[in-house]
Formats: sequence, structure tokens, C-alpha cells
Amino acid sequence: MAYVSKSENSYITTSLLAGIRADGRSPTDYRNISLEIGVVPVANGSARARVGETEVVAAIKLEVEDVGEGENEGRDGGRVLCHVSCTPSAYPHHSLSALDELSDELSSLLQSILSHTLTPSEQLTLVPGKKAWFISLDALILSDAGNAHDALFIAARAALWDLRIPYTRGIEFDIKDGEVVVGDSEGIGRMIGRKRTVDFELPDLLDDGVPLEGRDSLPVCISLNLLPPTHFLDASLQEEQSVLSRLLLFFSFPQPSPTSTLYGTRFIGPNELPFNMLKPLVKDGEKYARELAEALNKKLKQEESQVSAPMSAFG
Amino acid sequence: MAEISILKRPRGEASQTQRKFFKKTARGRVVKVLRECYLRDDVGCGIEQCTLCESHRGSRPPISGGGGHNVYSQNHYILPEANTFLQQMDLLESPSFSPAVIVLQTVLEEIRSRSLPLFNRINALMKGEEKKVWVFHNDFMRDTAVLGHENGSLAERHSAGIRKAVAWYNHHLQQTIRSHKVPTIVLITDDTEQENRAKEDGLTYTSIRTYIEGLQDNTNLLDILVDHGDGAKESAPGQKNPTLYPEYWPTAKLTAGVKSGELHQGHFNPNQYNYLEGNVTVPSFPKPLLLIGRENMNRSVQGDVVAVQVLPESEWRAPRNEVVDQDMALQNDDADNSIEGGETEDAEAKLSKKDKQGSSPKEFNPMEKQPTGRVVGIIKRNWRPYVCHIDRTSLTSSASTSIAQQTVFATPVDRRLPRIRIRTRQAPSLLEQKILVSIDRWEKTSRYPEGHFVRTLGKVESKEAELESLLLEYDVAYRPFGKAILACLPAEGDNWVVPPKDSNSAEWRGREDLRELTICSIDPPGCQDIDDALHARLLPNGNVEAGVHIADVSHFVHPETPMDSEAASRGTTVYMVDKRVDMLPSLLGTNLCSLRPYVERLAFSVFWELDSNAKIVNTRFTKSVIASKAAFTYEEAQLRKDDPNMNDELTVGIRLLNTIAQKLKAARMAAGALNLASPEVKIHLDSSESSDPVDVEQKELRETNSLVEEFMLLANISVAQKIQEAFPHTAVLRRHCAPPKTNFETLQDILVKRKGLSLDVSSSGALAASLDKCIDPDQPSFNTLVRIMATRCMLSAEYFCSGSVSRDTFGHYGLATPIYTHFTSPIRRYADVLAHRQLSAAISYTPLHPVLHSKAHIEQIMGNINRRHRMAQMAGRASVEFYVGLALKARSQRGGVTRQVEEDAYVIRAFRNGISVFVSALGIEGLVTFKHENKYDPNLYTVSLPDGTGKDVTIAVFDKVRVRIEVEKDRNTQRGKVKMTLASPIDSTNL
Repeated sequence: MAYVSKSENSYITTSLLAGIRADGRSPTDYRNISLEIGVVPVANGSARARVGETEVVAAIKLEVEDVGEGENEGRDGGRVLCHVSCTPSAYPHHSLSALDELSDELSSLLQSILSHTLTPSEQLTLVPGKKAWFISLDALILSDAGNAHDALFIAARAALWDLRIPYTRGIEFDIKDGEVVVGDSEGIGRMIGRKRTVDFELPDLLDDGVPLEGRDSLPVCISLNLLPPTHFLDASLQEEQSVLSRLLLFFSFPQPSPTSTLYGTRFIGPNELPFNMLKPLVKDGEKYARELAEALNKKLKQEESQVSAPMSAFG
Repeated sequence: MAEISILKRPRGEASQTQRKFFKKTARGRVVKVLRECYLRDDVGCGIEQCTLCESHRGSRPPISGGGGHNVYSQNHYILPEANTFLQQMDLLESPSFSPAVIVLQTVLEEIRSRSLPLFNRINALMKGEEKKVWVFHNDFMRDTAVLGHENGSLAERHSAGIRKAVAWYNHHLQQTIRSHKVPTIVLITDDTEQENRAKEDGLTYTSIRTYIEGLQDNTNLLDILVDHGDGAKESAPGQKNPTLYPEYWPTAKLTAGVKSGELHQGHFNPNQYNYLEGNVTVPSFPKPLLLIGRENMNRSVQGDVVAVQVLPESEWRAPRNEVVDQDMALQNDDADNSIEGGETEDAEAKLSKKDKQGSSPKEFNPMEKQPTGRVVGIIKRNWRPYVCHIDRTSLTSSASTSIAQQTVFATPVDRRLPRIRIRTRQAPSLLEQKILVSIDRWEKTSRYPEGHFVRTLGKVESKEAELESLLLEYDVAYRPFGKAILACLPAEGDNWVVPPKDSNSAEWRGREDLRELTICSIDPPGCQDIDDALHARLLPNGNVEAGVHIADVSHFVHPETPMDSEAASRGTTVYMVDKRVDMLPSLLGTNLCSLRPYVERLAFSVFWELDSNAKIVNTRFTKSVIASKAAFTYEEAQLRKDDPNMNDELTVGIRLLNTIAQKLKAARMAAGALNLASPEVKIHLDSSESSDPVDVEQKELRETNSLVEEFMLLANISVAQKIQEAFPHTAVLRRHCAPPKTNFETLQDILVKRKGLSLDVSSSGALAASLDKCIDPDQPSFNTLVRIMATRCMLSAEYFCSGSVSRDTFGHYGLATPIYTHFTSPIRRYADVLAHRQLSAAISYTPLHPVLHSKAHIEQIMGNINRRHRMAQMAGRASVEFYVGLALKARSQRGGVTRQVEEDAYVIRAFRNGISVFVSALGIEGLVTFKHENKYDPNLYTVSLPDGTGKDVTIAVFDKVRVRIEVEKDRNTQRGKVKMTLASPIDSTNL
């Protein structure tokens, strides 16, 4: 990790307290965010997100699972498994074990937030009691120039936005109870049957499938870098090293209602966070998160509407 | 060098060039498949006059347009859709079909995904010289590829691609061909939607029927044309045919049902006595599932893989024990309108009525109760062309000479198949012929399947037609070996000899020189392919050295050569009475590999050192060079052995072999080997030229037969042990599973009730012992009869790959040996060739070819040779049956006087309206049917017949009767059949 000397540290913090940042942003400004979806064509959904020089790629593979009780078996309503890999090139100063540790930490964070927002969902049940979708989301941090958390969630969110769940058709099967009810005037027994869906099939369509329901209300992550009495957003690498306390807030904004849901908070840093500070911070965080979520939704919709132009006829 | 240009699209267009779709795998996973397509501009159109495509035609010459059509120009091309190929393959293959055909790449791909066999047939057409076929790679052509993923189904994209290609052709030809005679491209489609779209696009299109009707020379083609349903509807507007069969369930539902265990999947197997009953053997029930009646069999044809739903146990039944012959029951059906005749109730309707009222549990033997079900869908059709006769009565009487198109019935030779309705213009000329007919479809509103005429095989009862029809029926490949295969033979041909001894030559490397050994072969008379030879001599230590020498076929047939693949696909040599269809070219089979006497031959030898009790002390395998000293027939060897005056080396050797063989046999019997009986008869042919059978006799078995057999068994067992040791996962072995005890239930029951005998089936040894006790002093051949019936209760032996099944199921039940293989007949069985290769590798003579290390590969070959083996046996038997028929005819007409042939027969099964008998003298089984139902006791297996004086004569299973046998030509179908009537104890002519 690039070393920040004491004097540099004090220079950065003093400027931040005065609302001045090295790159000229205001404390609540993000660096440029760029988004690209569908970057991995074979994946069911994928995205690349860049926040300044921080770059994260996320890709989703959909699997069909048999529903069962075991730990590695599917659930009605679907299952999500997130895995984050931090590349050595993003963290040149980390040892391999430190990299693993960081990857695990980020994986469990992403997992805990997404599994609660995504499942259980009826959309992810294929055949009730039998088959369900399993969302396997992999994120790769290609470079970390500060604020990897927010970038990670932006990438994961965009990949989920890009996700298409293939159309499936349930296959019904009548089973008879073995009971024969007699009562017909001709004396012929009739079967009493009930129907049950036992399997599914893929219709012969070229379409990719349907987007995830409620994808525009997927959570965003806002990292509030705390430098009491003030705070700032989207820390660069030096800023992260000078200011060690951070409050992560995970908000989701169900559309179109104006409410918001706070899915989780996480505090990182050596100091304690006084309780009375929390409430105003959450309130500010909600504001920033809403702005970010709206900006992302707008951009993603725009990106998607750029449908490729139809081929011209020959001649 | 060809110039290669790759026109990779810029990344921005990736979304258009990439083709993606989802696929559900066999294990239920969903996979996204993504393919990128490189498009080019230089795809040749294949039209002869085209000047533009000259530079990029590739190796194939372009094709000229077809003519002879009333509507389209002298120079036109047809471009059929995939369905046309899938349904009308016989038509396209017909020699009279001459139009120029353009096959689109996307069409080919569609065909491949829907039917691999048809795809192969199209490939053959394209490779052949006779047809004008051009493949246009429309999906690689920039102008014709359908790109992007517009929403819609794959099928829609497919149709759009075809239209685009036709439009491109029109455009392209107008540009390149300056003259006014621009060829027409005719889209062939039967799809209404596609027709409408083509109309909108201004394309030339037509249906295949209209096209063929417009051809100037179409008589032959119209017959082959498959009619797909629409025609019938047009002819009878308004009149809706009643539905005779339940609708099939959708495929996905069937697979789901089978997977979840609600349905059962198996091969449909019709009852040979009663065409209204069938069986399906499924793994989840010990007894096969029974299907009773047309509705429950639901349009299944013999061999189809069907999905069956089992009915509740209260509805389970036993087979009806009745002989129902389709031709008799349905003789009044009209081919033109086979929907049930409402006024007159035909025999079948009566039967099904009886089924509904009766079949109370009392009517059948509870022992015979079987799980009963109904077919709800077809997993896979196994239709093939069937050998048939035209049913004379189905011809319209007025039209028996006209050439108007009419609908007639074709009756398959195989009695288990339903009659097939075909439309033909040549009906009168087909009457006396054996013809090949394909089934096209079976509608739920039609009692019979619809088919079409493929070709004629020849006149009924001519030997050529009968032979070819047998080969076709049993799927025996009988075409002569191709050039590529013959090229694998040694260049010297007939002049090939073992080169002079030289340890450096390929032939002599690592071989033992056994030329001085006194080796001889013992075979049936007239044997040309001598696989095996033997020797035996006393060793100084008092032990005996015995050797079996097998033709070294693997020296000539190398893995993965055309000859090897052909042999693998043929699987076995098929022996018919008057013809042998070889597995290997005859140069090898009857010459180079045949261990003829007095010439040097390459062999694979197995040596044993045996002590005085015939216990093996030592076994050794080696490649060798031998020179057989004599080729005996069984009879010659026997005479030599029995002649006390003969004491030459050969005779002594045979005697020595014989003593060991007797001990080996005794040991085998003690271990519980079964002495099974299957009837074998020999056909006497007049002379080799005329091949008219003169008479039939039962094969005689001599001591020397058993001698050879014992040593072959011993060699097979020793080799099996060796290759299993060396290649535990891929050894080619043969096994015979113990039959389920339930298979014997009926036979046991009959034996107890009729003869008071019991059969112990707990093990093969117990069975062998109790079979020995099944003796009736009054009926000497009773024991043989029981053995034949017991054999029928058993499973058939099969080849398998040692890695595919668990070690404890390797055993051979009939031979009572823990391990077995086939090694001794490599000239006529492919399994033996594989065993040779594996043994050769096991003794480090040659390395094992990589494919023989692959379990999947071996399993695939095993599946094929098991099937071929079964088919070959059936073909052989059918051939014998045909000749028995001819012989009977000859016998009854001998000396110019027509006499009736009468033989002793044993009852093996009783029905309500008939008995099934076995005539041991002729080795055939026959059916005696009575016109009326008689008193039938399913519990005692008896049927009682009125003798005319008011008393009843009871006939039971195992009774000896006398039957009159005659060969009768079915008046309608020209199908020759053996007809038997009872002569004693009662004359059944009028019953």
C-alpha cells in the first residue's frame, strides 16, 4: 500500500476539513462513474463499473438446482451465492493471504446484502418443491484506487440489471390417487386426478429471457468517510489511507414509492462511532444513496435502449 | 495455396453476429450457448451458368438445372425445406427423381438435429454422383445470414433464413446471368405460414405434391410420395373421422413422467399370437407390462420405445390365451375408409366387447397376472422399411387392372406388425411381389398406419426375393465390400503366403514356429472358414499338452481401418441356409485366415498343460505359425477315433483330446452347467447349384462335436481370465445373467399340474439336476421338450465391457463359469477380434490401440454386436423356416403324388381357440387354430374339443399329438405360411 507520511496525512485531513480535495471535488462529489453491461457474452448477466480508476467486473451464471434440505441444495425462491476476488494487480502490496482475507470479507458483505434483497423470489422458483434458480455472482476487482465497496456494489447491481432469466414452461403431470370413484350412471369408474408440476422445459425462443423483477430497486452502497465533524464520499486511495473510519450504508429504494429501506450498516475503522452521530449520518447517506441509485437507473435504462440497428438488406 | 480471408466483424456488431440460445442439458441444467459467426462474401451459388461464383466454387462442380416439368422452366432448381427432407427422403433417393436440388446449410443443420439417420442419407446423396445436389452455406454468407436476435422462435428465424436465401438467389442470378433464360428457384414448402410469407416476398414456391404432380414423368414418384394428412381432409370435407386412439402426451411431459417414475419406458413388443396384445419390459417391474387392446397399445409399432402408464392393480390382467390373427379378424376392412364400419360389427369389435364385459379375475390364471398399462406416448419411433405383400382383397375389384391411384393394404411379413395402408398406382403389378414399405405416420383417427411404397424386391417365393427380404427384415448389411475396405487386404491377394522364416520380418516377429506340430481341424462338412485347429500330445512328465490354434485375424484387420469399422458394424457373419453373409472379405475368411490343411498359416495359440484329471497346471498364450495336417469333418474324426486299427499321430491326438474333453465336460456339469436344448435341423440341398431343398433332418451330435466345443470353451475361459486381469476396465467379455425366478413360474406350474414334476430353479446346478429328472418313460423326447421350454425362460447371453458392470455379475449362467469371452471365431464374430487384440496386448505382443482403452467406445461396440448377434440368429432361423417350408412342399409332392405330411408334435401352449405345437422332427413350431372357442381351463392348461359324438377330447400341454402339415399360400397376401391341423387324437379340420 502506498505509504502516506504523517505530513501528507495532516495535509490531506486539514484540507478535507476545509472541504477541499486534491482533485478539486467537493466532499459529496463522486469521481466519474462509467458503466458497461453485457461485457461477458456467455454470462447470463454481466457489467463493468469504473469509479475513477477503481474497476470492478461482475458476471452472473444462472444454474438450475434441485430443491432440497442440504446446505448445497436449492431452495424454493432461489438461492444466491456471491464471490468477490481481489486481483493481486489491484493490491500490489498485499500478500496472498491478505488478498484472500480481503476477498472473503467482501464476498460475505456482498452475500449478506444481496441474498436478503434477491431471495426468496417467486421469479426464481422453477418448479415448486423441485427446481429453483441459483444465482452465482462473481465479482473481480481489477484495480482499487479507493472506494472499492461502492464500486463493487455498482458493478454487482448493474450485472443483476443485465441478468435475464430464461423463459421456462412448467410441465404438468396428472397423478392419480389410486382411488377410483364409482358413481357414473354407466358404472364406469372415473379417476380422480390432481395435477402437479414435475419439470420444466425451455420454449424454442430466441429471446434472452426476462429481467429480474425489481431490478431498479436493488441496493446501492454508500461509504461515508468520517472525519468528524464532517464526512465525505468516494475517497481516493490517499484519502482512504488518511481517514480510516468509514460507515457503509446499504439502501434500497423500492420504485415508485418514495420510501427507502436500509438493508444494513457497517462501520470500519479504529475509532468508535458515537451513537448520536449515527442518525444524521444515516439521513445524509439516504440522500446520497437515492441520488446515486437514480443516476444509475437512468444510465442503465439508457444503455439498454441502444438496441443494435437492424441489418441492411443485400444489394 | 488458397487465399484465406477472415472477415471478422468489428466488436460493435458482435451482438448481431453472435448467435446465442439456451439449451437444457440431459442432467436438467440450463446452458447458454454462444456462437460467433464469421461471414464471407465468397460462397458459391452452385448454378452452372453463374459467371460470378466461378472463382470460389471449391472442389465440387456446379449443377445444371432440371427440366421436364409442366410449370417451371427447362432450367429450374428446387430448394426444399427441412421437413421435405425429413418426410420425403425415399422420394429424393428414388432413381427417377432428377430435379436439381439446392440444400441450405441451415436446412442441413435442422435435419441433423432432428434425425441423424436421415442426415446421413442426405450426406450419401450429396457425395454420390447420381443426383444433382448443391449445398449452399447460407449461414456463412453475408447477404443471406439471418443475424441479430430479433424476438421470436428459432423456427421463425429458420423460415426467414430460407426465404432470404431464395430471394438472394433470384437477385444474384438476375445479376450474373445476362441471357433472358434466368433459372427459376422454386421453394418447396408444405407450411401454410411459410407459403404466405413467400407470397408476400414474391418468391416462387410450391408444395412437394404439386411439384411432383407437375413433373412429366412421375408415375413412380407419386407412389413414394408421403402424404401428410392434409389430403385426406380435403377429400372428405365436413366428415370428421372419429378418434380411435387417445392423444399422445407432449414429449416434455413424457420425459418428466419417466424421470419421476410415474411412467415407464421400454420397447414395445407385440404378442405374436394375438395382435391386440403387447408387452413392454421395464426395469421397475419383474414381469413385463401388459397392454391389452388397440387403445391401450395406442399406435405403438414393434420396436418403438414407448412410455406406459400403469393402471391401478385392480385392473391388472393376464394375457388372454387366445390366438387372434389380424388378417382374419379384420378381413372385411376397407382400405379406403378404415374407420370403424358402423353397421356391421367386425370380429375385432366383438373381441373388444368381450374384453370389456368379461375378463373377470376368474377367467385367467392368477399366476399369469401381469401389471397392465396403457401407452401414453412414444419416446422414439423405430420405424424402418418393412417387407410386405399387397392384400389382394383390398384392391377395388373394378380397378384390379387399372393404373388409377388406389389405397390398398400392405401386410408385413412380420406378423407382429400392423397392416399398413398405402396409396399406389401400380397396385395390380405389385400383387405377386414382395415389396418394401415405409410407415409415414399413424393418425389417431385411423385404425392403420399410413405408409408408402419404396421398391419391389421380386416375385413372391423366388429365392432372391425371399433372401433379400430376410436380410432386410433382420437388418443384415449384405452389400458387397467397398473399395476402401478391399484396399485394406494384403496386396498379394490369393497369393499371399507366410514368408520364409526370418525373425526380422513382420510376420515372424515374436512368433513361435509350430509348423512341425501335428495339428488338425474338425468342423462341419463343407466348412470354408476354419477358425480353429487343435493338437494334443503327451509330455515326458505324464501330463498332457493340449493346444487350440485360432486364426490370427488381428494380424490382417487393424484397428480404425475401413475394414475394421465395417466388421465392427456387421458384428458377425450371418449364416443362411443357402448363403453366408460375411463379416470380413472372403479373401480373409475363406483363405488367408482359414486354417486350411497343408499350408502355413498365422495363428494365435493357447497351450495348456493338464494333469491326468484334466486340471490345468499351466496356461500359455502365443502368436504362432502353424501348418495344419488335416481338416476333418466331425464324422471323419469320429470314425478315425473309433477305428482301432488307426494309430497314427493324428488319431492318437484326437483320442487324447477326446479323453480330456470328456473329463472337462464332466467337471463342467458337476459345476452346474446346463445342458440346454435348442432344436437344430439340417436342410438337405439337392445340389449346390439348384439349392432346392430335398429334405429336413435333425442334426446329429457326435462325440467329436463335444470335443471341439469343450476345448473352445476352455480357450475362451482362459483368455477371458487373462484379458480381464490385464484390462480390468475394458476387457471384452461375455456373460449370461441368471434368469429371474419369476420367469420359470409358468413352466413350473405346468410341470406340477400336468406331470407332477418339480423344477428347482434356485441355481443353474439345481436346475440342471431337476431337468435331468424331467423324464416321462412314455415320451422319450419329453425331456428335450422341457429343456427347450426352460431355455426360453432364460435371458440371452450378452457381450459386455468389464468396466461397465459389477464384478459379481460377470458369470455365465448356462456354462456355470465365473468369467467367459469369445475368442475362438474371429473370422465370423467381431467380439473375438477385439479379444484377440486385447490378448495380444496382454502378452505384450502389440500395444493396445487407444480406442480399446476407452470404456465408452467398447460399450458402444458391445451394444451393436449384441444386437447384430441376435438379428443374425433370427435371420438364420427364419431362413431355415423358409426352407423347411419348401422341403415340406417337396416332400408332399414327391413322386408326383400329393401326400399329406404328418408328424408327431408336442403341445407347448394351449389357447382358448388353438394350441401351439412343436414338431421336433422339423424343428419348427406351429399353431393349430380352431374356428370356435372351446372349453379352456387356464389353471390346468387344457383345452377341450367336442369329438362330434357329444363327448369332449381334452388336450393338455405336453401331450403328444399328430399334426398334418401343409404349406399354404395365403390367398390374399401371397404370404406363404405353414398350416397345421390336428390329425389325432381328434381331427380338427372341421373344428
